Amino acid sequence: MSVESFEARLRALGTEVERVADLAACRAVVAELVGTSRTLVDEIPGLDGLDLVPPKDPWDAEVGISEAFSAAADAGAVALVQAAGSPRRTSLLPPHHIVVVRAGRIRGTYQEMVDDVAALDPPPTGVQIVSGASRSGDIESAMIHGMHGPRRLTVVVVG
Amino acid sequence: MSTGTTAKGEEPRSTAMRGVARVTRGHPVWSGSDLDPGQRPALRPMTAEAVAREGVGHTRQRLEVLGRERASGNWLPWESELRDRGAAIRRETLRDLDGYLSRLAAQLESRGVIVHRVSSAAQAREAVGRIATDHGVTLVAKSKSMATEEIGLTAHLTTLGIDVVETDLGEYIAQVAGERPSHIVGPALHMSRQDVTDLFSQLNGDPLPPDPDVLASYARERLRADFKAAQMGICGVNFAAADTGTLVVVSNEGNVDMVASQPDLLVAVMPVEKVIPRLADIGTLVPLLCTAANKEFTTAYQTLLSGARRPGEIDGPAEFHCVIFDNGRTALLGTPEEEILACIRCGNCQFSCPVFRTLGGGHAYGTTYGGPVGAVLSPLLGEATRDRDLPFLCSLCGACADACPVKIPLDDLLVAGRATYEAEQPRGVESFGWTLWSRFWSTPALYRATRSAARIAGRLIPAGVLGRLPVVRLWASGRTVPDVSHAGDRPRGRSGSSGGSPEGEDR
Repeated sequence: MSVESFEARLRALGTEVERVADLAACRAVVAELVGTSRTLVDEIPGLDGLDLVPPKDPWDAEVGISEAFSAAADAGAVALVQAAGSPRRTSLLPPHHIVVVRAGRIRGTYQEMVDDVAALDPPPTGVQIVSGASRSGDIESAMIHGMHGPRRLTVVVVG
Repeated sequence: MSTGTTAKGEEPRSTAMRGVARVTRGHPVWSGSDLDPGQRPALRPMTAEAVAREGVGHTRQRLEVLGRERASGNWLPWESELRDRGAAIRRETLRDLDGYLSRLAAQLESRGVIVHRVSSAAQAREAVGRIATDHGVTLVAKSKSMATEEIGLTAHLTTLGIDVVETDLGEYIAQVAGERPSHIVGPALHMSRQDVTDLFSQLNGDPLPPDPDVLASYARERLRADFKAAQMGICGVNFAAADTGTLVVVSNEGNVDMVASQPDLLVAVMPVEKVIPRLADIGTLVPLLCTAANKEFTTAYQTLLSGARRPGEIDGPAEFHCVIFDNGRTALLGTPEEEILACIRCGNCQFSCPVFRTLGGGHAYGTTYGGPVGAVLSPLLGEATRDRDLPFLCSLCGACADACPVKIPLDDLLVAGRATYEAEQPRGVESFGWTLWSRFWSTPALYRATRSAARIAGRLIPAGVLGRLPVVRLWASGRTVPDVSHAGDRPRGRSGSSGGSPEGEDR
């Protein structure tokens, strides 16, 4: 149930959603989304060995791929743990961000997701909770997408 | 890690602020970012100028729309539950503020964060200035923070020869215009789309179209160059978890993540009351803040920072400082005013306030914080007794207390602030008059005598003349003098209990 409400909430926030059965299907979807774009990719178990083009300068990357540590259906949010192998730049510098979420990681509520994060000991140096693409309403409340972070967000739910 | 385009040995300077000397957009002295709060104009001429300003009507209309969209007492059931929990967490914090702060500082230090606990605003800005100059910093990328506004940080760093760039779009607009933020979460709410177009066109040296996407792209390109080149990032703090030493910052644009991860050096600035007992509490406080501030369940990003870069990590700050300042706050603990320390800076009371909306935003308060929260908090900050008259910018409607997500009795605090102000005034003719009135109306016989006097005056003196007498004239300015020729007469044909008359005649 919470997977369906998670997907509905993501779509309401303007986030693209792909639902796949397993990691093999996930690899195929990600490969198609990325194409020949310059890509930053985190260490994601089961998703290694993709044939990706790395950027010369991370600031020139076109796509970033991360895996969610936890997710919340009610907020349409994903929590990314930032550490060695999963730097902050992946979800930040490229205009298109892809997040892989294992269905078993999806919690019903924001509070449950926060509890997952708070239980990490020691706390990771960085956790970024993401709910929708980067946006701003600072010019007369007109909604602008992709202000400083990604303008496009795709969540691939696995399982 | 800093991957600036500047060659080694060359000092990086701001790209985003290039051309700012071309900006000629005029603004009143009281909205300027260079206003010394102690030197602001008197309240009456400042507010009169604000309501007479060109374009203020449109700003007021925008603020009214935003106010209507938000909860001002009409909290949905799930929002009310969130509000109850959030209010309780904030009070729990205040009961042992010093204990939580000590735990926070110890946790931060255990994660490699260099903690600076200081008392005054001056000490806070000087601490940040020393960190910058010690590292030879020439360019700082900054995310939005009211605390840094309060301590005058940008002005101080600028005097040290450092370029400081506001990277939140609204803050950037305000900075280019040379103005202070006009609202806690919407710094450029006072400006129209055309205002921003004119401003950025001047900055650009060539006209830009009045299209928000184009204007935002223009800002994005310029600010991205500064994210890349900055040697130091400065961010504020929304919540600081004492149990884990985690600093939590909410944003929609992604600029917080930029300044907190790409430069090698990070300074987080927070006043003491930002501490919360547990990281898990953000499960309540983040949705509460975002719902109250912006009618959204959460912002696009919540950035959780727990210490400096560890071995194997390729970004995040290599050196991480946290400046925690007091500026008069802990002196409020144990007084009725400590309630204001529960504030989570959502800005909802500002939208709810008819005086704030009429003034076209917070500039005409002449302080860092405007609106109800500002009128309560500003007079209490620092050592000086400046801004004590701000609680008079209030109609006593009470909408702010209903709008407050953590249930601060803002209306009571505004009344208390007025009493404090009055008690500090020298006793003049007016206070003598009120004392005399109080004596007369405390005794039935004398009370009746004043009514007789009013009746006689009302019958002998024409209303037009009555309104021009000394004393009466002061009261009559802006009011219509009522007919007092029947003052105190019982309404005919009605029983005494029928209508809202507050007269205590029976006693």
